[in-house]
Amino acid sequence: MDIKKYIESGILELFVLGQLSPEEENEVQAMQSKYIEIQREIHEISMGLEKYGKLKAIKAPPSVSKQLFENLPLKMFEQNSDSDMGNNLKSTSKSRWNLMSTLFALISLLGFSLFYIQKTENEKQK
Amino acid sequence: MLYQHYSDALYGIILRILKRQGDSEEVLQAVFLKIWNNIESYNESKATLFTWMAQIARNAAIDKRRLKSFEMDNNTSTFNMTESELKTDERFSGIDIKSLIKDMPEKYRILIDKMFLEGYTQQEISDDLNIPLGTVKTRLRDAISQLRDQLKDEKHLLYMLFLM
Repeated sequence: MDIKKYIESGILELFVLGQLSPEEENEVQAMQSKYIEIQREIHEISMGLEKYGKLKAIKAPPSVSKQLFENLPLKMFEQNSDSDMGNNLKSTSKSRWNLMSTLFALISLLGFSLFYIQKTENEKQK
Repeated sequence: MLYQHYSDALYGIILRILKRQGDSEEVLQAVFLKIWNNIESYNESKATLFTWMAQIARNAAIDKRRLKSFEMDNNTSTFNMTESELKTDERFSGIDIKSLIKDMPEKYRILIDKMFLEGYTQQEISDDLNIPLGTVKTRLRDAISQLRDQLKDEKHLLYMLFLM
């Protein structure tokens, strides 16, 4: 495989722009995991475009971030499905049960230790 | 943090595609929600964080434009913001970055703007500019190469300034 020719074909630029077919995309991904030169080239193309994107930035109105952060918890909650919420409730009650069991085991262990120490002391006194 | 760092660049892409402020604000919000909900599916071997987010922004804006065009019965006259109205944010435009655009031939700048910022496909560019598909590909590569060269120069300049 002629790596230089592959790089110069222009396919990597289209890959970064998301303009390849799924098959071509898989091919480029396989190539980049095989050849470090291709991986580096893709990174540099991306960084060049990122710089250009920032250069052409337009100030987003402050109202967008305000609305976004106000609505974010609500919208994220709305996007959970009912079954997810059901699972969340189940997992919450499950973790509570686990906590109770652990506390019960610790208290039992402590009680048993105190009982054992007291018994040993009594035997010594006898 | 993510919002502060990338919102202006993503808004630049969205507004260039939609050319309508209200719709662009709505899409920017939707894009960030999508990013937050899908951040686990981000694959760093496939794209940098910014190019991944830019792809989401382009697709969302193009979908919105299609929907709006359909609603307006293909009347695109309301998508009427001009390039001068789409002013770039001066915070990012230092002297070196400005020279980057100034030195870039128009044929390259148009291509990057249309494909990266406005989401045109290579076929659409070929049809619009009446140039063969192969030329679009070669010209795109040349344009991005020039961007990368300028980026290297800028890094060297910053390094020299740092040493001084």
